[in-house]
Amino acid sequence: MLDILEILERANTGEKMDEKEFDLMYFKKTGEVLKRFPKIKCPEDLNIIINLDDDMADAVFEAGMEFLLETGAYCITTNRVIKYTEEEVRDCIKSIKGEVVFGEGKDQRKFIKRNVEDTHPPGICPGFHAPYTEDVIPELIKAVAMIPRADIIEGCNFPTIEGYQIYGLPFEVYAQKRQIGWFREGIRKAGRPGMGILAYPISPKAATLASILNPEWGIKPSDGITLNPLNGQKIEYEYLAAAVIAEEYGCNIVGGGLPAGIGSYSGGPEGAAIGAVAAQINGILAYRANFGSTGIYCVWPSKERETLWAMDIAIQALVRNTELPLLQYITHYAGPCTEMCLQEVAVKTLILTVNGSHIALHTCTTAVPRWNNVQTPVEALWMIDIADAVIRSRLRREEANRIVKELYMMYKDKLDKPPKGRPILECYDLRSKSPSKEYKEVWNRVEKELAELGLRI
Amino acid sequence: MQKEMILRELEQAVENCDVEAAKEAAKKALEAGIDPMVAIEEGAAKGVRKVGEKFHKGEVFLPHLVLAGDAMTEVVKILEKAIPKEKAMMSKRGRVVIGTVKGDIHDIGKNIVAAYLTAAGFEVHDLGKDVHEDRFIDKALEVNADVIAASALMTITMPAQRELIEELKRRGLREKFKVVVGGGCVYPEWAKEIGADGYGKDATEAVEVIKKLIESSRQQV
Repeated sequence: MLDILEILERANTGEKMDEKEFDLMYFKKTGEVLKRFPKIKCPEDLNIIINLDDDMADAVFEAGMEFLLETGAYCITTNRVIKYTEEEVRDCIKSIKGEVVFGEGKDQRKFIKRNVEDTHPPGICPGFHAPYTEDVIPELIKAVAMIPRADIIEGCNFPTIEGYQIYGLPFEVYAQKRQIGWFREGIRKAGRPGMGILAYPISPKAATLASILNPEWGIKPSDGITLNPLNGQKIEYEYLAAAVIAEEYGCNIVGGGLPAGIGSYSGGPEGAAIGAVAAQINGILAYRANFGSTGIYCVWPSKERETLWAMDIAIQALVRNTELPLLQYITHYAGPCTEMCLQEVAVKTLILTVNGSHIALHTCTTAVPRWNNVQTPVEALWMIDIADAVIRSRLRREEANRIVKELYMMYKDKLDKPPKGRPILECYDLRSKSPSKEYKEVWNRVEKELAELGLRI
Repeated sequence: MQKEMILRELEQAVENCDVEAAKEAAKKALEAGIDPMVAIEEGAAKGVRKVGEKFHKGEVFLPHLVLAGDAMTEVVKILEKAIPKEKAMMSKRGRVVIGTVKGDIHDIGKNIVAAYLTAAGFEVHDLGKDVHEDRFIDKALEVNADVIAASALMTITMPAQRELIEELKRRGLREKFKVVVGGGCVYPEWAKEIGADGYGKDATEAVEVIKKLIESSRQQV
């Protein structure tokens, strides 16, 4: 694969361009590439959310490749464009290994590249890509690590450390080290000392991430870190430096990044789909990701169906045309302890399980912006039960699409004003590791809805 | 009749995101003796609002709003020379300086808010990401902004919103600008704690909050 030094050199010597000029070029190229691939079209049939057309998925992959070759990546630190050749991109794809290994001993887990409609269950990362207060974190980590189906655990964020507000690099480094300490202790207390940890960067700085790479007490070479390019194929010096450090250290690197987004410089869902493929390949080349992770956002919540379709076809495109294992994050609009939250998680889990992803839980993104102490382990448990039910039922895309569509119809009118739900301390007991009576009832109701639709968990 | 035609030309040029045509139409407006404020409000601004309406319907995308905003800016540059200074200050359009705060390089949310503000007819000055408080303030002074909107995605960059407000106080400018904060991790209690004038949970709410703040501050003048 292209040497990282070559990436660094191009970030210093590539064509100079204003960021706005790059964004507008990105938008223009999206339209030009899509013109050459008229097959790529988000179905007008509102009943289709999961892509059923393999040829279209392959066209999305080829279009994504061409798009990356024509746009390149953009370094926001140097305001330069990093161009790749076709040979470099093809070579990068060929060099992808079909598996990622996390953890040690009996807690070691292998994430093998899954296929569309794969019968192997997806690997699970139950979160939590969200902020919590210091008092909650240790118990939460233990609760998450004790979930038997959890294969790896991801770090969380927090605004204060030992009562001090985390602000500025020295505090960020201190907090990042304490975070890993909590995780090491948490997985040990949960009886899973070898469980793989995916480091969530407290701040996107090389020094912060470098501070925790330590085989004794920190992130071991058998663990991983998250390094995502910014949306729209943008990279910068701090994460490039972190990629240099992490690649040499030998730990896993999870990343891919997002396209510019639906309604933004990607234009419509078709543009976002090809942009997601390009963003993922760029994530492998620039930040050395060995575990893919892409996603799509949309400016308009009301266009969620198109967003789900674009995300799904981009993943199918990558799964069908590369050996890259993918860890896809689930976000939801509604807050925990609501039917809509579980319906949304079910929809995304169904899609990701049949399209060949491994699955991670992110957080609630809209009803409760990432305030402290929101996400609970219940959403992760729900996600796991759905994924396992999909595998047990040997669900194929057509059938999954039918259930997804029915579930989606239940909450689509609430996307503009999703319910806030309840934060963790109001609907989950960290000591007994069980949901509140209210949350259990919500779970039971949505479980019944799912059973009526034909999926028993 | 000629006045109506030129105003329509201005509106269409901006609506079509055609910077050159917009500049030509602005020059014609001046030559025809049309009140520059009328040319802006009833010509170019109408074009931006139309693009905004299409954006809300999902018919056009953020780059169209950016380009329409660029065309509008060029029109204003040409026309403002003919506007007496005191009248220019009374522009009906609210002026917003927006950016992601120092240390934060995430801009998805900020871009959406900027797009919604442009679509709602505001004059938006987007400073991008990782913006130092001095840059926010200097730009706000330069364009005589009504509002400074500061976004932070990460909990560790939220304190930069407080630094912005403190710097405004230190420079004796706190009363001059309304400050609105938002971002993935920002919450209403935080906005209150740091003394912000407003908080927007999402782009729709941010636009409403900014509208209200500008209306109330202009009523007080």
